[in-house]
Amino acid sequence: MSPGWLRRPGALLFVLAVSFGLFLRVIPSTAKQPAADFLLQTAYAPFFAIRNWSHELFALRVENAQLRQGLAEATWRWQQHEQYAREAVRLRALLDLASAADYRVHVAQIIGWDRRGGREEVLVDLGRTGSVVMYAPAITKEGVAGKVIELMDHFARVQLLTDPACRIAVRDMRSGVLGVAKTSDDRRLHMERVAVEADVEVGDSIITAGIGGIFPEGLLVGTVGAVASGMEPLLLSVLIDPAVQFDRLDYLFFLERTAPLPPGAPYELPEDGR
Amino acid sequence: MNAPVRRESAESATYVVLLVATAVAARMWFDNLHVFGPVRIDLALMFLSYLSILRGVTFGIMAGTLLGLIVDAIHPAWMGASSVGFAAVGFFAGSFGQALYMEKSMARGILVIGAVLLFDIIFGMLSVGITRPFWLGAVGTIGSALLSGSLALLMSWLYRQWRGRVVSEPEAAGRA
Repeated sequence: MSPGWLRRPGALLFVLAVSFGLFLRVIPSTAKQPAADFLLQTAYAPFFAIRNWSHELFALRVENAQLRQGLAEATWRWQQHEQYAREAVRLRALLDLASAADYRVHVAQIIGWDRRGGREEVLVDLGRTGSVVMYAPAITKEGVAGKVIELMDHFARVQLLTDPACRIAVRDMRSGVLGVAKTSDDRRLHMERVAVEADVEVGDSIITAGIGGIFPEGLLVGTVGAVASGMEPLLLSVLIDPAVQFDRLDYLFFLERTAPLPPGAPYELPEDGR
Repeated sequence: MNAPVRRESAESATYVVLLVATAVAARMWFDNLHVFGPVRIDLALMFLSYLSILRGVTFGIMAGTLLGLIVDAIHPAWMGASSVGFAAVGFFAGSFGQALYMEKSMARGILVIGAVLLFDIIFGMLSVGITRPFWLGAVGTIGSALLSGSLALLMSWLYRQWRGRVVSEPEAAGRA
């Protein structure tokens, strides 16, 4: 006769299950290891895969964020190095120029623009204390930018070549024809006082003539963009494309002459050319 | 003739798969959902209790045994302890589910509390080698039982609210 509780539904199965569990519990671990391995490989494997995948995904997200940050930093450094490289080229050109013509170079940053009343002037953060002198040529790596017209202790005002009041004695580098570079009322740079029979062609380089004692000879002003008959019958109208990009100015370099100026210099070119 | 039986078997198999997946996922990702130190929420145990109420003693014992084997696969030295514990929970919940009126949320919550206590007592007796103070084990067991029971009660109540709304809407539409 079996006990009464064993007749309950599932009681026998329960006894078998408990017996099976207790049997498993008492046998050595080495005997249970294969079953455990099988269960791990079958029941747990998909979850392991999903967990590894999710961990990998999270790690990739973190890595991606780090790489993005690294890329931003590298891009910024690269741009900085590009800037250094451009500055190095510019400074080397200036050093070559300075050594060739006995000039010292001072660098100044543009801190303000003055375009009131049609003027084209900039204010730089270098003045008398920075060895800048009155009428000192202001140049860039590309060529002539202007000259100092007002000097303060720590600042200087520079009249740009695009200012209608600025005039520079220039020369056609190929033919040697002389003239005066001046921005006319139409805001375009012209080479004035060129005789109609003068040998000036489109594409010629226009350089400073070295007359007047302000600008040394040989600084690039621009290239001839167009040649036409002028308003005056005996003169040519020569349009110059400036070498300097005036809308992108950031730094200016001032030349300090170490050799003595010629007697009477510097002097302004007369407005009428005589 | 055999179609209802096959459908019932398929349902049981689906439940077992879900049960195993819950247990494995909870064990792997949430470390059995330890909430406050030794106090835990054992999702697999709650799930097994509910299924045993619904499906009966036989299902509870077989599913519990299988579940215990899989849970213990991570610690082969204890293999068999969880198996006995879960089988007992299946038997306990299945028996009460058939013998008593378990429709009330409160009854199900109390049953889950009993299931957790039963499992922890059996597992504590069989898993020799786990060294922790008695009071810590007691706090963990009682806390886990109360927490799991409360959660079960809440889930059951929410389910009833949802089902009541689903059932009442067609009735209301029919009356209209």
